[in-house]
Amino acid sequence: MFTWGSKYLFGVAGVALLGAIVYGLVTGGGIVGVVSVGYKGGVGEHTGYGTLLGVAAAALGLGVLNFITRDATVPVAEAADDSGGGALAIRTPHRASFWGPLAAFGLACLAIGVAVSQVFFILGVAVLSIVLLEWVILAWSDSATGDPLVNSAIRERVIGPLEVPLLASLGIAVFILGVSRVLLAVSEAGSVVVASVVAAAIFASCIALAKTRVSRGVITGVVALGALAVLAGGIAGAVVGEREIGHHHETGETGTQVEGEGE
Amino acid sequence: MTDISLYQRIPVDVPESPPARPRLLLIATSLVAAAVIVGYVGLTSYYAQVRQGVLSTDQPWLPSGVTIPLTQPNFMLLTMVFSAVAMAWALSAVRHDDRPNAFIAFALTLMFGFAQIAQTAYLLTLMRMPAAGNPAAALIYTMVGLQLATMAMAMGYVVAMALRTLGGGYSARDYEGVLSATVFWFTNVGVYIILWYAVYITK
Repeated sequence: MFTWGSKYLFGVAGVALLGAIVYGLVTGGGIVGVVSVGYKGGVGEHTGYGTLLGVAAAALGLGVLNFITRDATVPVAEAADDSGGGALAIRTPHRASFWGPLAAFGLACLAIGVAVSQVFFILGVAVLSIVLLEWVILAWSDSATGDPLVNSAIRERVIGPLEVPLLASLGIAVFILGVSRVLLAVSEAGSVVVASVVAAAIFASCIALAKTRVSRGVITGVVALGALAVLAGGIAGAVVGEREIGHHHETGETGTQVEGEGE
Repeated sequence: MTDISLYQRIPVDVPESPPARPRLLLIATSLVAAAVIVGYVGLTSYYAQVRQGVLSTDQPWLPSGVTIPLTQPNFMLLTMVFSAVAMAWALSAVRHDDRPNAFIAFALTLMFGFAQIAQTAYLLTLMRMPAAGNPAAALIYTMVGLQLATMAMAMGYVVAMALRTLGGGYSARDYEGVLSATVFWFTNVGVYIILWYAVYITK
């Protein structure tokens, strides 16, 4: 009746539960408190007791799942067809997907945004939303038919009209946010130098990529490196903070006097 | 293999997709759900230990002037229970190929999710608890933040599975993705129940 996997997991759950009770008792808990999960009376040392209870709950849940799915066994009829392409056949991806690294980039922006700057948080949310949409469409299209080329065409047809504007907007947002943090953090003269160097680097990279026959992978690598540099600069700039910038004050009725420009 | 380009017509006579490897997503989701539960229970245990340490010195646990009202947490609990029912409804509808009801149920589940996030935001504004300078505040914000992150992940999962269902990926023949999303949604409800009892009720 019980499968091997569920037996093992129920055993783990039982041992963890027993361990929690014993641990609670030997660390000063009362029997009523330990058995009632602290509802009445003490449970001893909370962290160890609670963690063991968590392990017991997780193992119990996994055990029930294993029991219901019969250890995730695939029926023989489903397992393989005559051509060897049944349910257990390994399907290799037709082409590389960048959504995993981009999702990591979005999560990094989210974490940095919480700690440093709200703009990075909003950027992280935007990146993760786009990644979610793209990844879902890719996963769906990969199994739309048995022909990878047709699947690729289906994906392009569904998401293609949205993909270019979305990714372009994202790229522009990343660039503007990253570079602006750097320009605001360095001195007035430094910002002129940074802007010139960045513009020159983009110009030189574009000429180099256009004049030489490089593979798609190299272009992707150059763009990824550039994006990382912009992000790293943006984070550093956001951590340093903006330099003190003077304000414009209007004086009198006849004209405008500008005070305290720059530093 | 059929040679087609982007702007050519997609041929009709293409081979069918091989069947998906069964139960892969369900097992992976269950492992993640188990990790979430163990992690959250561990954090809650640490919270309880620190709280016990502070209370044993006759000091108040919450910073002075901070109170946690009960109305919002209880309504959030009710919202989460409703969301679990809506998610189970979505699963049942997909299993019976009842697509209109499935999408209504998906939308309801997401609406309850948004409602819980909104109520948490309102509760935090009512509590007006400064984040710095007090261990209780740091731990409470960590626990509430992790619960919100779990909710966000669960909502993303539901959106993804609703889109896959909309695209015809899941139906009565294969509903594993929706079942996996349901497992994670129930885990999310479990996480809130832990938060509700450990922080909002026992204070």
